[in-house]
Amino acid sequence: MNIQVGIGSFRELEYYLREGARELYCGLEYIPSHVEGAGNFASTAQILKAAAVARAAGAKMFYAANEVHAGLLEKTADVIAELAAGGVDGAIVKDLALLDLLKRRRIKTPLILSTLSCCLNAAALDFYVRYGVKRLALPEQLLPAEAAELVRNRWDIGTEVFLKARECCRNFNGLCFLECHGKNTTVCKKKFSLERRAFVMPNFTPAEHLAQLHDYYALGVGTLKIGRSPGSEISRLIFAEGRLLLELLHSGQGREKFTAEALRIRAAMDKAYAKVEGKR
Amino acid sequence: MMELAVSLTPPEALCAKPGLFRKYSRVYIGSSFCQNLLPEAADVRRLRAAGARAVTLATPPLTGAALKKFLRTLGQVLETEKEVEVSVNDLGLLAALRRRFHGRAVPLLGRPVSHDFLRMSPEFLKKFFSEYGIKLLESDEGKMVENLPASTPLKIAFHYPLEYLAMSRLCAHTGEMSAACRRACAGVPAARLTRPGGESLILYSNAYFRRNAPCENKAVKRLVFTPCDLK
Repeated sequence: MNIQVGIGSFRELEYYLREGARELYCGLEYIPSHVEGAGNFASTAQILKAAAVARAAGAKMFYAANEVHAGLLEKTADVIAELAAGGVDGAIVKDLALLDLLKRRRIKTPLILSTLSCCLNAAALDFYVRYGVKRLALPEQLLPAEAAELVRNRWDIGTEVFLKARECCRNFNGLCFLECHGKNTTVCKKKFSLERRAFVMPNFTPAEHLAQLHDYYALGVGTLKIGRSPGSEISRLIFAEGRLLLELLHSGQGREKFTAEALRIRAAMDKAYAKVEGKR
Repeated sequence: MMELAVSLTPPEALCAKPGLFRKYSRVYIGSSFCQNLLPEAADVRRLRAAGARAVTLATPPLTGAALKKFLRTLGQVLETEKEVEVSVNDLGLLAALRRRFHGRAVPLLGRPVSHDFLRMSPEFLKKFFSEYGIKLLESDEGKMVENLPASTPLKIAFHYPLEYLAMSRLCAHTGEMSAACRRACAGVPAARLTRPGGESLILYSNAYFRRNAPCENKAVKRLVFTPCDLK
């Protein structure tokens, strides 16, 4: 399993390359790419420059355009064509109309299907393979046993999983239309009252998430994905935690031992997160 | 003429009074939001026996196991039904309908995936709907549907009184994600989730909603009512 990290600036690019990242991805300010508040590059020229820097360091750079926007459809395809021609290693997409347009325009670049597409079964993956998808970011709302048919697929499609113990929506992320504009407006994490009882939208526990990470690793998921965060210091911590967890996974521990040790790492990291959160 | 339909989960259909089916020309059975509420062939038989004139099978995004289960059910339903509508929220299912049940299972593009499709280019939608034989796009977004241009190629089934906002496979009633579901939601009416000074949501059938009202636009060919007992 490799690690992939989202970036939004040359400063972050240099930092993560120095830290050993071999896969990066980024967005462009004027093409929607889902994450609100995270940094994006201002121009295709900047992304091409960043991709060249990554390539020189032996790393890959992907471009994220994972929203649906009819008005920007042609423009998005143009951007992907330009970036592909300029050496960017692939695009992260969601919009079926965009996939169709890229196919019709014969724009050849490895396509990663965004986790937002909610591709939950092998028949759905087959559907997307026909549009040229080469890699799949596994939906968050899928258990490892359920994901087995996607990970061990017959098309040799690679798979990615987010470090869900740190970055995971409580609801289907691609099908969630609750107001969500940053940490303080994340409705899904708020405490509600339901007929005078407290109600919080259910979520997995950290131990469950970490045990699932072990199972994804055992299944053969190729990439651990660290998302773009509005706070670059938070992203760095998640990346650091991801690397520690990967080292632990590579050491070959069983599920229970891994989870216990991973929880210890998490507890230690929690203090660092709290420090950063306190500063923000 | 506007078609009027009613939407029920299987546990709700079991408790429904037969008079309900006479009021509507079509019954949706199943759930667009939870794969533990998939309809079974026996549900369809019961609905028909109780007087339902036409049936639509509602389905959510599906795991591989749930997809297999539903395709088996569909095969059984089509042993007695000449044709049946399927409200689809999974592109794997959509492809399977075309491959295995073409002409007999008529797909509708369901909520919530229709949210994205409603925002896709009309040219693409026209081609895609024709390729997969999609009869209607289902929506509950009043503003989006009201503002569809007269030239839209879309035909809409509009759902009310609940506008979808979010769903999870983690059950809102038990907190679990499990195939061994005991249907804790059965018989539970829609309930308001409130926060002091904050937004209010409606919890129903393991998804979160806000209230909406029937929408008027020439593109709306069907109104689908969910009797969720919302106070």
